[in-house]
This record gives sequence, C-alpha cells and structure tokens, in this order.
Amino acid sequence: MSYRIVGKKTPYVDAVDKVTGRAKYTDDLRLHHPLRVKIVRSPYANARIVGIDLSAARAVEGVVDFVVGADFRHTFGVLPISKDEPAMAKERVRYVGEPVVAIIAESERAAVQASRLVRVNYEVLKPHLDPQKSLNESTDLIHPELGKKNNLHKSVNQSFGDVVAGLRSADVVVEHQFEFESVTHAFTEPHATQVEWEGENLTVYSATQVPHYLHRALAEVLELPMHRLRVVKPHLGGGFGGKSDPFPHEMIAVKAALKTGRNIRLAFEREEVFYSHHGRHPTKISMKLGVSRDAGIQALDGYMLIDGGAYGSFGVVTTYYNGVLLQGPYNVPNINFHCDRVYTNKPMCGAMRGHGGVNPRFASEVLFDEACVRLKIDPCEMRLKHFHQPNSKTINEFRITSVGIHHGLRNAMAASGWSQKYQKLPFGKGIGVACGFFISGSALPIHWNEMPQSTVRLGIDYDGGVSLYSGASDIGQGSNTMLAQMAAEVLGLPMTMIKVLAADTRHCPIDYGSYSSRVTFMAGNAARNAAIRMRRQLLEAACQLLECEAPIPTPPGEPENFFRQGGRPPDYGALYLGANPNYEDGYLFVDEKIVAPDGREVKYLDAVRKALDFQGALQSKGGYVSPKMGGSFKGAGAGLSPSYSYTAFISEVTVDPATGFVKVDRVTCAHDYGQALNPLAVEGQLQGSIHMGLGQALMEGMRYDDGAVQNASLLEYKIPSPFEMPEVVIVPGSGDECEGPFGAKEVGEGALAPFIPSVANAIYDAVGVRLYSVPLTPDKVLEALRQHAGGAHAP
Amino acid sequence: MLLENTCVWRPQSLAELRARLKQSSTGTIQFLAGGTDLVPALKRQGRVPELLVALSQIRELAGVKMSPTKDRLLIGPLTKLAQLSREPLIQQHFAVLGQVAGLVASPQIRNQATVGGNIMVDNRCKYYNQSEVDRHSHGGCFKAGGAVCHLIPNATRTSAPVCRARFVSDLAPVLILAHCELVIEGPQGERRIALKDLYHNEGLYGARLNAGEILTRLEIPLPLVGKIRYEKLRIRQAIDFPSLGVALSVRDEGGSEVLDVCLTGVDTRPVSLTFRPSQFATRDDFWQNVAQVSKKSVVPLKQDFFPPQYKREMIAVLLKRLWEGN
Amino acid sequence: MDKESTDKEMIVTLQVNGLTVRRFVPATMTLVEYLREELGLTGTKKGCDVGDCGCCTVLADGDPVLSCLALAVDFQGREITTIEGLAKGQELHPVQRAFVDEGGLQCGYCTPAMVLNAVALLNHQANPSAQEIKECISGTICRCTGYTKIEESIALAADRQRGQK
Repeated sequence: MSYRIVGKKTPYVDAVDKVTGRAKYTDDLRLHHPLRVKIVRSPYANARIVGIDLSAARAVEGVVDFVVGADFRHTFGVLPISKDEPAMAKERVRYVGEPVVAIIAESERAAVQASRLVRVNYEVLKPHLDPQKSLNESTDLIHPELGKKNNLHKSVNQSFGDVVAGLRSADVVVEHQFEFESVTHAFTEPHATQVEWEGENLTVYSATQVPHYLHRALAEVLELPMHRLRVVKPHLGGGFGGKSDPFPHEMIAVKAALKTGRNIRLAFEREEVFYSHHGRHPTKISMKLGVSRDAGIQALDGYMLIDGGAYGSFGVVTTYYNGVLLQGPYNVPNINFHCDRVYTNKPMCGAMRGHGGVNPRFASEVLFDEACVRLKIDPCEMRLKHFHQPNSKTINEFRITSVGIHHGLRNAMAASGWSQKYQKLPFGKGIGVACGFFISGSALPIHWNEMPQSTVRLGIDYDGGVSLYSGASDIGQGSNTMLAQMAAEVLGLPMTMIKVLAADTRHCPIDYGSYSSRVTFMAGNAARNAAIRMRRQLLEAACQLLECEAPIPTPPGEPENFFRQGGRPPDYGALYLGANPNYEDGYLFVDEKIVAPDGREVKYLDAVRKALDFQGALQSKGGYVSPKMGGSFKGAGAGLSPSYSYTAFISEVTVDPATGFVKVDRVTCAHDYGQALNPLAVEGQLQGSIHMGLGQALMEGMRYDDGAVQNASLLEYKIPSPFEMPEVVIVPGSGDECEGPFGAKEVGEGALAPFIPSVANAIYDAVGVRLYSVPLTPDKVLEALRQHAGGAHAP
Repeated sequence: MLLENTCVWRPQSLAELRARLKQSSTGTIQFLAGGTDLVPALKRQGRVPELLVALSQIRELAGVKMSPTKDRLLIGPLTKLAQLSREPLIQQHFAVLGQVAGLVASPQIRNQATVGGNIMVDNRCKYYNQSEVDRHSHGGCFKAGGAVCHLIPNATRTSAPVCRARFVSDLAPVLILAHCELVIEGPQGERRIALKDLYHNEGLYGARLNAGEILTRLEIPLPLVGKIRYEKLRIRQAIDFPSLGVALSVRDEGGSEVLDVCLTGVDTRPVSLTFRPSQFATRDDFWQNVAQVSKKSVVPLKQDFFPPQYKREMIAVLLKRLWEGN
Repeated sequence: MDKESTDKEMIVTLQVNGLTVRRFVPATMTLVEYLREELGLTGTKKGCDVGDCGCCTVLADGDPVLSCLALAVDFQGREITTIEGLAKGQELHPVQRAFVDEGGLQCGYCTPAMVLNAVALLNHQANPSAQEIKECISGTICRCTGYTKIEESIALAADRQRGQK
C-alpha cells in the first residue's frame, strides 16, 4: 500500500510557530498579575535543619509569603513503589541544591533580595558521596525513615541459563571494570511552572514530559481532587527524560498559589537545572564475557553499582534496565546480572535518553570487541552471526518481533568501507563497530491498571477540521506531527486540517507521556485507531450519499501467531481495534474525497455533514493496549516491550597521539526503526542521539566537589559544538514492524548507547589502547597510550 | 538572574569621561565595556558598584589606526574582537592577532567583547565563577570576599590572601610577544607601560588599573620582531576559554633561533619564557629542558576541564607543534 | 554630573524591529529582560542568562549579540532585530522557511537564535562554506539536533537566496 503522508518528509506542525518566536514555552506565558517564586536551596549535601529564620526576609518590601517543608504532609516519587522525596526538605537536607524555603513575592527582585536574607541554621553532617562506602554504611542512613538496613535503594539480581558453564565453554573470556561519570540532559529550556486560578480550579502550566504523572502527584501531595487541577504542557524546550518526573518546584508553585490565592510564576536559573539533575547514574561496572568462535557470546556476567543520589526517581526501573537491556541485540544463552542502586548525598539520578542501558552497553560492546580481536574474528562478521532472529524469544522471554539489523549492519559496512579499513588504517586513524537494542515503550504501566496505555480522541465539527486530543507530550521530538500524520493519512486529508491538542489533562485522554520511546508506537497506534473508527463513520455517511451499502467489515480473526498480532482487520466491535490494523476495504480516502470502488466520489466535507445529521458531533476514540507477554519470574515485566529497536554504528576516528584528542570524523548509522513515518524526524532523532552520545563519549560529566556540582553551567558542562560533530551517514536498516503504526518503532533513544562504544572501539583500532572510563577525555587517552608504550617496552 | 540595580552612565566622549574622573569621586565606579565578562560576574556576586560607566559611546576609544610615523599600530581598547579580525590594517601587519581574536569564545561574544576587556579579563577559578549556592556550599574564597582558598590550604603570604585564579586572555600572550605597550590616562596624566608589566602574580585582580585610570590605547611597534603564532587547548573548538594557550615568536640571535614564548590559562598571569634550542646537543635534550622549565615556571591547578599535569605537559606539545609546524 | 548617573531608574529608548519603544526601567535591566518582560517579545529565550548558551541572541545593527550580557540602555541608538522582526506579514524570511522545510529544529528553544545567526551570516556572505555555517552557529547550543539539520537548513536558505533551488 502506498501512502500520501506517512513516509514523506513532513515539516513539523509547530515549526512555523517556532521559527517566528510565537511558540510559547512555559515561562513565555503572561498570566494576570502573577507572584514570583524564588527557591532557597541547601548549600550542604547532608545536614539537619535546626531552624529557619524568615524575619529578615519577611521584612523585604514585596514579600508576600513563604513555602517550607512543613507545608507538605506527603512525600512523592514518580514510581508508586518509591515515594521517598519530599516537596521541600523538612528536618534534613540530602543534597546540595535541595529546596528548603520558597519566597513568594510581588516581584522577582523582591524574591531574590529576600532569598539572600533567609537564615537557615544547619547542623552539618558528613555526607555520603561514594556509592561503595554508602552501600556499606549501616548506621548513618540517608533515609532512616524507610527502615532499611543500609543505603541500598534497590537491588536486582537475575540469572538465566548457566553462566559458569557458559564461561567454561567459551573460547575466550574477557573481563574488565568500567567507570562512568554522571551526565545530565541539559535541555536548553530551564524548568518552569506557572499556576493560574480559574474559579475554584488551578491550571498548572509546566515544562513536563508527562502531564498525567504530574497531575497525579500534585493531587496527592497537595491533597486536592484531581478535577480541581489541570496540567498543561506548553511548548517544551527539550526533555530527554529530565522532565519526566514530577518535581518539587511544581508542588511549591501550586502550594504558593493555594497560600496566596494568586497566580504564580516560577522559573529556574540554569544552575538550578543542574541541581535538579535526574540524569544518568554515575556507574561502576564489572563485567565478564565468554565468547566462542562459532557460537558467539556464551555467557555474560555483570555487576553494576549505580549511584542514585538522594532520592528514588525512576531508579528502580534504572536498576532493572542496567541488566535487562543486555538481552539484545545478540542471543546470550547464559546471563547473570546484579545491579545495586545506592543512595548518596548528591542530586538524584533518574531517566535519561537510553535509560539504564547506556553504560552496560558500553561495557559489553567493548568487551565483545576485545574478544573478537583475541579470536582474530572480524567484529562485524561476528555480530552478524549472532543477532536476534525475527519472531523469536530471548532467554528471559522477551518477545522479539521484527529485526532489521542484519542488513542494517551490512549496509553500514558497505557505506563505511569497513572491510577496506578495519585493522588497515595508519596509526592514529581507526574504525570501530558497536550495536544496540532498545524498547519501544514499556509493555507494563508504572501504576498498575487495565487502561489502554495510550488513548486518542478525534472530533470533527461542521468546518471539517479534525481535532485530535492526545495526552502525549511533544517535547521537540515531533510527536504532534506524528499524531497528525496518522489522522491525515487514514482520513485522506492534508496535514493542515488536523489540529492537535495535546498534553492538557482537562481536554485530553490519559497518556503515559513522553518517555521510554513509547509515543510513536503507542500513541501513534491509538491515533491511527481513532482515525480508523472515524473513517468508518465517514464511510457509512458517504455510502448513504452514494445510496449503496457500506462494506461489511471483515472480522479480525485470531493473531497469526504470538509474534505477529498486528496487520489484522480492525475489530469495530471491540474497544481496541488492535495493533496497526489493516483498514483496507476497497474505498479510498484521498485528497478530501472518498472514492468508491466503482469510481464514484463523495467530497469529504459532504460526508462529514451527512455524518453530523442526527448526531451533531462526530467523535471517535482509539487506544493502544500492549499484548500480554513475558515470563512469570520476579521482575519478568522489566524491559518487556511490544517491539524492540536495533542499532549498528560504525565510527571512524582520528586520535592525536601527542595530545590524546579524539575527533570522530564520520559515523555510519543503521537503526532499525521499522518504517520511518517522517524521515525528517527520524534523521533528526538519530543525529541528535549521536550528538548527545558524543558528549558522553568525549567530554560530558557532572563534576562534584563535596557533593556540590562544580560545573553547573553550560560553559563548564561541555555539550559538543558543531565543530566536534562528525559527518553522519544514515543507511537503511529497518524491518517492517507489523504491530507498529504503519510499521514504525522506536527511534528516539536506542541509537545513543551503542555510539559510545563504537568510538571506544575505533580508538582501539586507531592507537591500540582500550579505555574503560567514560568520558574518554584526552588526558585519559594519553595516559593509556603511555602505559601501553611502557608495557610494550618493558623487559 | 537579576542584575542588582545601580546607576548607569554613558559618557558620550573621552572628554566627558575625563571630566567626571577628575571630580573627587564618592563611591565605587566600574567601567563596563563589552560586558561579556563583567555582566555574568555582577549577576553572580549579587552586588554592583555605585556607578557603572558604560563606555560604548566613546567612539575615539574604538578602532585601529596606523601611527602618523607608520611604525606603530594603534588599537583602541573598545575595538570589538570581531572588528579586530576583519580589520585590514591588522590583517596586513599583525594577521595572527586577528586570527586569535576570531577564536575567542563565540561569534556573538566577539561582537560584544572588546580588546581592552580581553586583556583585562578577570582571572577565573571554578570556586569563584560559581553560583551563589556553590560559593555558599564551600564557603566564600578570597576572590569572592571570603577567607579561604579551596585549591591551596593555608594560602596566605604574610597574612595577605593568595589567590590562584587563572589568567585566560587569548590576546594578551600574542600582544606581549609583539611588545605591546599600553597608554593609560589617569589623574596624574598619561603613563605608558609594557603590557607584560600590567599583570600581577595573583588571581584577585590580575590586571587592575589604578583608581581613576583609563586605558586609552594599545600600541604595537612595527614591524613585528619575529613571526608570532598561537595555539590553544580546549575541549570544544567554540565557546570555551583556553585551558592553555601558547604563543610563540621565533627570532634570530646571531644566526641561531630563539623562541620567545608566552603562556595563558595555566597561571595567575601570562607567563613569558625564552628558549634557545641551539644550546642543547640534541632536540631531545632541548624538549626535555622545555618540559622541565614548564614544570618549574607554571602552577596550573585543578581549575578547569583538564587535569593540571596534563595542561603542563601540553605546553611542550603545543610549542613543538608551533615551532616545527612552520 | 550627567543626569543619567544619579538615577537608578531611567527611560530607555530602543529601536526594536523597526519601531521606537520607550520604557521606564531599572538602569541595569538587561536587554533580554527588556525584550521579554517589557515588550513581551518572548521569542528571545533565556537559557542560561550568563552568556553560555546563545539562546538569547538578537541582532544589533545586523550583528548577533547575546542580550543577556548587555544592558538595555547600552543599546540605545542601535537597531535591534528579534526573531519577531524577520517575517514580512505572513511571509516567512527565507531562512525561517528553510528551517521549516528542512526540519532544522526540534524543541525550538534555540531556534530563534539559530535563525538570527544564519540571517546575519547570509547578509554578508551569500555563498557560505560549510565551515562558515558551523562557525555562525557555534556560539549557540542545540541539544536536540546535533546541528546537522540546522546546517542543512542554512545551506538551503543560501541556495534559495541565490536562486539555485
């Protein structure tokens, strides 16, 4: 089937607003006469709050009121199993930057002035900064209220097959320790929240990836019924996972509105974004890989210690993802992993692009490369033999549907000239490969329920314009464009006729928001399903106008097999039409017309108006429900996804042996995203993933000093400039995912992880040294070269 | 981050400024040129002088000219860095200066920052160029008005604070090698000093003029003595300050080459060194000497992206590149 | 003494997008605050407020500058162009059009700055090299795109302006 809109380069629906400056981000909104809020933060990593003296601050002209920890009764956390975070510190602070007092004032100037006059008396305690030591601490606990016996937040240990036997049977066993600095999202728009009164109700405008989670958390922490709160996400200046939790400042803003009865405006300074963090965990990994010449990876044994910082955030999920995402892209018959997440007195870590899978991916891909070198096998050829096969199951019972990586890696090899270059380039030039694997959304929700994971509602009124309501957040990835494409394609309309209204809890059905690469797959399917139901209504109206019988829909029938549930005819009798149903029925919806099989036509608008007769409003809804899958062991749900993406990277680097500088010259990328719905967005996501991965690979890292972030600025936290960016060559590497909307799956996150080890492996090819500590900074490269040379010359 | 409020005055000419400076002044005055260095510092420290004198209108302090005798380049301190890169006189007589100016920070900043601001840029340290929370967290350091240095314990010299905030100007080392002189006007009239003598060996006020003084001109004697080159180390090829900058001028001394070197980014001030490779039996001996001298002459600390030891080592590497890559 | 030096509040008169605007403001008000809070020109973004991110870029007499590092009063007498001043009625500036068509944006927060950087470049260099394009955006951080499509958009705008596409 050929498409008019899907698969075509489609400008983002909000692009014109963004290039003209009209697009309103949260802090661009101008509410009626708002009060301003300034947060006073803890300068100590671990301290007891002995007293707070607000008298001098209160005397500043323009100061209206304060919010303090005592104003809140409940703690919160994005995961219902890990609600350990207070909206504001009460008797103790646990990281530098934790909110302690918020000043509400008539002007920003008054708020800032008062903030300097707040006197907090602290009893400073010894901070726990090293995760290993914190893990061993048994008396001085960061969260004594949780009743645990140490500072361990979460521990996951999963074992499949027989790792010992696997290692024994391997031709070569490679192992090493790895270390990773924390990296942070560093989106360009700092967090911001505004609160507006409307009668008895409050509208919370916030820079959030998940309005629904924020809605829940606000209702709980502020003890308000959900219907009195409305959460709206205006345009959002980047998230990457860093705006997916509910945040203290959002609770503070609403509390300030409740205390004063006034509208509230709160925006972060850049440094507050760094204190807030929620980025990738600092990680220590000890991993062992057993590899056989013919059978590939025989066993993987890994221990990961991840430094969670002061609170839970998404950490339980991160702890699982550190292990479960190692189940691909290769068959690993014997696998054991153990991951500990430890509390420390640092800003908390959480979900960041490639959530939990990035650092273990580096370890496993570097070790795999090392094994191939020792076995004298081409690392691309080795990988090609052992990728997952389509329609298969992994040892931990992940259901693998489409796998497009085989020809993807072959394409990347051809485009990069791999076989002419690998181990053949002059000293200082190198080429390296690494592959990856990621989820297209989680098959299980965070809050246990039977709701569809995404629901989309469509409405058409007299003017014929289609209103599409979705709870998904466009955070810059282009999800509103994708949703509009779904409706435009199915209904045969131009993109301009689809008006997307998203991320507004009053008007939009529930959606779990924009994280874990779920939106295209789940909300996309929901939008497509809603459009198919709408199409059915319009088809019936058109048939009335044509005075013929509407075709009787084919009943869907059973899924072909466990692996192939999509592509069936829609089930109009059920709430859920299925995944990616095939809606062909002989009628064509194209160019604002409905064309019957006999060639007769009905204008779209005539069909709409006919359908409105006796109804007055045309509505439809569509949902997405993940198929039931997975094992029954403890933790079997972690990492379950209706579909997985695969990535292959071949990176080419130049290493300067005198300075240790690494320049990534070119990167060839094959990502199995299924079918591209919008090549503009797909390429943009891959290029962006490479850029973010480049930062982590070569320069980014949160630098702490006594628990304080020392590089809390975009000058000292190093995001690569255009000059560091490599040439990016994207080659086809996709299968057709029958359950994804029009065949699509994940593209936003999976590509980040394998890029980093592809650079490390290329450095090895260039200069013969392996680096196990990320970022791979020039001083580390130089030190490794020196040790290598020393070793070579040693008697 | 709000800038604290204070008085701002924009004199329209040097004469107007001179007249004002002659008055017995009450309160503190600070000059604001491009603002790219000063404005963030003022925002972060949360206090401002009683009067900010914005110099942008004093047109006679901007621009590049040839001296009437045609043997000196005259650079106005308010010349923007972007302007310096484009200036034909600079391209013709001192091209490397234009190139170095073109590598400072970012294109926007080069449209704002001035030559005077660059050579008098405030010394930087990770404990000083920080948010209020961070400064509070560690306790204010000497430079932030506190009583400690977080890099060196007991950092006092006969009870005076010792601050090791590092010097980061890109232009200064190149200008120093070109024997740049400054013309400074003050209450006592005009004085001249060599640029290299402007700097003090401490990080608090690396290059502060006396009260009431104003830098009116940079003068560079022509032709330049040797061929000057510059290379800098930074992790990103944009935005970043130099972690290390090496300027080299090679001149002839009785038939053998002499290397005049000036370093930035690794100490509290520009560090000038001279090497005579001909005094060494082999090149290896010479480079060993360079490494030793570098080690003795500069004290880089853990203040920016690169570890101190690495920065120190890179001095010889960049120098070698500049010298041998000619 | 000049009157300006004794008042902490003053009338600041600016030329913004071809109009003369006048506001009574604190003397140290930065240009970004003046644009966003006094004029409501929120297309100029505040990403860091200390000159590191480039999101607050505006044009002053055609040159890109960081409005968070400048006092509004210091821009009296200069012509300021913000992102709101580029389009002619409903017709986008060719650089804006190219960013839309080529997908030279994602979250859009750095977009006004990127577009203005590009407009300034193309005004004095009709046929920029790849290096010049990188250079012109190198003072503005984009966290979404990896800059690739931004560079392609600028190249497309240059081609179109020269009538090649």
